Amino acid sequence: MNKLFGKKTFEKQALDHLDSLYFGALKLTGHREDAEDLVQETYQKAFNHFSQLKDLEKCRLWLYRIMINTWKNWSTKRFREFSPDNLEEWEGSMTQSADVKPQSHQMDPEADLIRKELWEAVESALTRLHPNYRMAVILSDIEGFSYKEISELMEWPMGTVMSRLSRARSLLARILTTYKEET
Amino acid sequence: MSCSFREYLSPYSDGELDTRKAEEIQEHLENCGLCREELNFMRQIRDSLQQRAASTKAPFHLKEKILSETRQAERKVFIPRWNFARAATLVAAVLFAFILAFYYWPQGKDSFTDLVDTLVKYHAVYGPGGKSLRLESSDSREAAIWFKKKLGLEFSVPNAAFAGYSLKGADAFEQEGRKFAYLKYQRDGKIVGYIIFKDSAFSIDLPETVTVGKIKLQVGKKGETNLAVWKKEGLVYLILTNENRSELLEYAQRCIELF
Repeated sequence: MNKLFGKKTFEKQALDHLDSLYFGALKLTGHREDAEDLVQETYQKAFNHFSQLKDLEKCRLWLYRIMINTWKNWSTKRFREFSPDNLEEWEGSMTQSADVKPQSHQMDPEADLIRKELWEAVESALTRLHPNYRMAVILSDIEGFSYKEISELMEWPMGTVMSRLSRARSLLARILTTYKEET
Repeated sequence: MSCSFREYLSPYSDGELDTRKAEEIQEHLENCGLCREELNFMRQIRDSLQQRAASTKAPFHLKEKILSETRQAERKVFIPRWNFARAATLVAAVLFAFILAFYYWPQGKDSFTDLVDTLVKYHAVYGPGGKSLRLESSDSREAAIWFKKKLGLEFSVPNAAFAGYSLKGADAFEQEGRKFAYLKYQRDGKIVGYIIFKDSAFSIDLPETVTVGKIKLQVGKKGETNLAVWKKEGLVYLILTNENRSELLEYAQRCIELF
């Protein structure tokens, strides 16, 4: 335990980010139970290594780093889906399944979908993204981390952060366009 | 969409482009409907995700589970430390008590007895024809100032202008880290020594206790020297004389009256 901050500080600082981490974990795993297990393991590790956190301002980033590393280990062991090796292959199948029509994603969410429907559509689309793309969107759009922070968290070069995020958004748009056309 | 600016829309929406490039994109957006639409779409996705995230709460049982685990882990971590701390404190306390007992209980009295022996011998060297005093003065105020300057000790120096005694002078010496103030009074060939030193732990068992005012004097004899000892406010006062006991007590009373 970090003598400087103490248990109460850990509880206050780290648990303040619980909802945020849980949402990220939900998007990462796609399953409620897996998300809970992932968050629980993250907090266990965080508690055991709280002394390594030197700057409380970076607590959320630090927690995310633990969660992502834990998730990577899980993925390597259990899912093998975090590996970038299959990214191109995955994207090929994704593009096919999304039945992309380049000019067809002109939609007016306010007119065509009520907000709840848009949420559901976006969430559904997000779960269909490759974990690397999904992660890029979660860290940038939901968590608001900078490209530099994402680069550190994911151990990707800055250029990769930029291209993956751009690609992920583009794919999301395509999926949502397809969704809109189907409904 | 095949616009060449498309790849920059994502970093532009995140504010990650340098100023020049951002201005270029901004200018382009004014003229390109497709890019504007794409950018709006990105922002809508982001807003939607952020709103969804904001409305998602971790289940209560998850928070409880985490709190329970961290508290359990803390007990595992801290209980041995607490035991160790307690054991260390106990050992330290026993050691400290042992050291105190070693220095102050059996040996303490012996060492103070030795100290009194030393002081008696010290007093003896200022007898007739003996060692001369560093301050030769009959002025008690001058002696008090001298001690304050020399030893940092402040106390009332009796002028002893009674029963024919007069102040002869003062000296100071050190013994085992203690600083001693010595005053010499004389009447004819008879000498009274008055020694003052700091020692709140000082104790000595002399055969007789005499109360003068609120002060308890211990009175005894070392060889031919009669002595009276008392303590007040961290200072030890010792009177030594070869005169008889009643003169010793009279002199001690005179000193105590000065307090």
